Amino acid sequence: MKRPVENSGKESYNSEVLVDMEEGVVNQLLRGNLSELFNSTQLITDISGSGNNWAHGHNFYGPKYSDTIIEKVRREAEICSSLQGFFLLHSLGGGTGSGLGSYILELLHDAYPKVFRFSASLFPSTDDDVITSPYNSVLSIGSLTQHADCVFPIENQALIDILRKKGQHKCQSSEEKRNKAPFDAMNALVSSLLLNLTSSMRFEGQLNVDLNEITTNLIPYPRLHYLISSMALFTPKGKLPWHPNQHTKLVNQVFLFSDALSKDNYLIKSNPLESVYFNCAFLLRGTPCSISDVNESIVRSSQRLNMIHWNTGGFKVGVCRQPASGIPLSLVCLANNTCIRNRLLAMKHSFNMLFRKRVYIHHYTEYMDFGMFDVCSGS
Amino acid sequence: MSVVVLQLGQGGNQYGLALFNALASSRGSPLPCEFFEESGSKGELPRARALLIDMEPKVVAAVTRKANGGAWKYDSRSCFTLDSGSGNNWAAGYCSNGATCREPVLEQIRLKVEKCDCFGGFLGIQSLAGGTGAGFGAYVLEALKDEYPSACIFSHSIWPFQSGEVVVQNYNVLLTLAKLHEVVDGIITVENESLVAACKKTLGIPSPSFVEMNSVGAHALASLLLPSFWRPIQASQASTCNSSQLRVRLLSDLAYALCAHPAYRMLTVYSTPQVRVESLDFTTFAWPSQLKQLKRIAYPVELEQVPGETRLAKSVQKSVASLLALRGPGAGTADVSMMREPSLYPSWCIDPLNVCANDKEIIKDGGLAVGMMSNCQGAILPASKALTRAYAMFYSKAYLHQYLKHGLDASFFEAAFATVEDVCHSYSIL
Repeated sequence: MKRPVENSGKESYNSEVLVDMEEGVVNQLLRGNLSELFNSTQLITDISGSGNNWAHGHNFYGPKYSDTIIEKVRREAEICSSLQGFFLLHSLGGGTGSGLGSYILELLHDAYPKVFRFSASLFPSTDDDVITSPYNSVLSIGSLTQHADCVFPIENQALIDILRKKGQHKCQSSEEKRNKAPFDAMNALVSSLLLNLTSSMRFEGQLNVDLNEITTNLIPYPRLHYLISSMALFTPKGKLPWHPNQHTKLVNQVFLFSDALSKDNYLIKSNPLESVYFNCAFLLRGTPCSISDVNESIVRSSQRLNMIHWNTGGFKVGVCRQPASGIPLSLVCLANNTCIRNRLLAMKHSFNMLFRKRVYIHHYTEYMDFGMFDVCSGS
Repeated sequence: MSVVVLQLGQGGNQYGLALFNALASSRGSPLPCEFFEESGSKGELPRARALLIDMEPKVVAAVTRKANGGAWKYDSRSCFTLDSGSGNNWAAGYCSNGATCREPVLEQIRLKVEKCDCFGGFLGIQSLAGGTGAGFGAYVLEALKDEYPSACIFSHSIWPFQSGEVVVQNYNVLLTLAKLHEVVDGIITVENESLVAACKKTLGIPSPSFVEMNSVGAHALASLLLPSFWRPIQASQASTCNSSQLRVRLLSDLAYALCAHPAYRMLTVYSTPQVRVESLDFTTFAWPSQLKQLKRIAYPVELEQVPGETRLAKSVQKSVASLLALRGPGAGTADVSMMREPSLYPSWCIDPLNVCANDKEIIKDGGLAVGMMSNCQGAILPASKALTRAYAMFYSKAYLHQYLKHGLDASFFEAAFATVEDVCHSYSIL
């Protein structure tokens, strides 16, 4: 699990703390292509791992490493001229990412209450291969609801479907999917989402959007902070540099907005168009975009969206001039939509199926109280 | 009389750059001393009398860079930035940032005011939707009212797009307007939609960006702020605009002419000509046609059915007071009586129309321009829409926790909504 600490100053430090309770993945990163970007003193590793057990990660490793974690985070935070937020990247199905990740979130909430905590959390898919993932994810959701400021749920199945649609992944059967899932390409999708989110902080634009603006605009009630995200990228065929003419510009933007709102492009399996939107943010990157075009596209798109009655004009717009490399025009859509309820209910349903029979509980009660299950499933 | 301009937030800084470019583009004339300091040494560009304020540094840096290389520049010391941003949160700008940044900002402003030979007042430029421009801007203008009680303060405030630019824009707009109504002398409002419409329909720009929209708005405002001289409404043949006439003093004369009544402070700017740049060379200008075009824009009419099938055209908009600025040859003697029709003003107004003029052209040789700043009902429609939406959000208690955590409470919201409702009501009964 990696947690980069963002800074909004001019220096481009790579501020992160890498945490994993077994060394294999972290060592691979340190030996890989981007090894010079990682600071080997900012690691926390152990030998045996958490055994896909939330309680092992949260109640055993958490207190064991809490001082070390706080110390390493403090060291990174002191370098920042103006600390704006923490980004937590983890999955909810396993033991370290979910259990220790939740513990670290609580630590950060106590130590830095005024700094925003964003979490890009990998929700388990319906055919997830970790059997205890329903327990781990429900126990984490309790912590995320209470201690995170904003959560971006992501699902592996959605990422695979996006890649398949783009023609980058050809596997059809589920065994092939498990063995040959293109994790690199999937992670690249997630990282391009995070890059586009923070592009306004790093580059100039007509209408900048910082991370704190995302929280102010998209979170109407403190506990309802699960934002579904989607991306639409315009990649012209043929060689770059690309000079758009008048006619193609409007056509491209129509497609861009309708792509971003279509259910196939969301990073979680859901259909937001059938549910109610609390609000919606559109973050554009690229030069051939003027605010009046964006405005027209929003007016056109809003007719398809089911906005909540007290916020029919609830749109946030960001325009960043610097395009992503190789992609002249891209659009990220973040929405606070009630369709997340379906995913959470499905998670709770899987949880209840196991919990009713009390299977695997003994692994968890080794480290924590039985009552914790009720508390987290209630939240 | 010198005016210190405060550029507040991203919108304010971008618009302020366009305004200074418009003020500096008056053909052949020296830069107006109301807005530019004389350059100290030879070869140095004149500096704008402006303070650039934002809670994050990117925009101020970009705006300063774009100004350099022209006929003027910003003073590199006249900037105030933090790193954190206000997050579109009015309460963060007003309560949290306001308290921490009050002293350094007021100190910077004091240095700017001391450089003025004859200080005329402050002009704050801000957008109403965001956190810094709206929230911190309202705080700064309130602080200036305390520090400089006899100075005239005007604000130029930009309405966001109605379709939604910021989700919490309705809260931010109403909280700012309520605060401004307490502390400033006049609030000049401009809507993004009307700037886009002006760019598209009359200037022929199919998809205008903020740069073009700001330029159109700034030129309209500049046509009122550039030097001019008072003239009577009925001008005799012999009167011309020269230095023996009384020069318009910014901003006190504007406040006196337009904002004499405390309940009426919302001003709207209109200007002509609105002609495509390519067509300028082929356009013939005449005062009657310019004034007619302006009247059509400022006072749209409705046809009213009366018994007997005679249809009367009745203006749907009334003004409390208007200031007309004529620029170009013959400005001193042009007939403006069509703007003085009694149906355009309420019956209790005495001398609602004020006229100033300058023979110097600002568009091209022989080109005529008319600008009008009117204390009228133009701002009421967007304000009412914002009120309706804000009430809906407020009764659902949406986003309130974001504001409450910085120290505002629900009664602050209710008071602000009530103030803006009163303003709308006062204008609607004109």
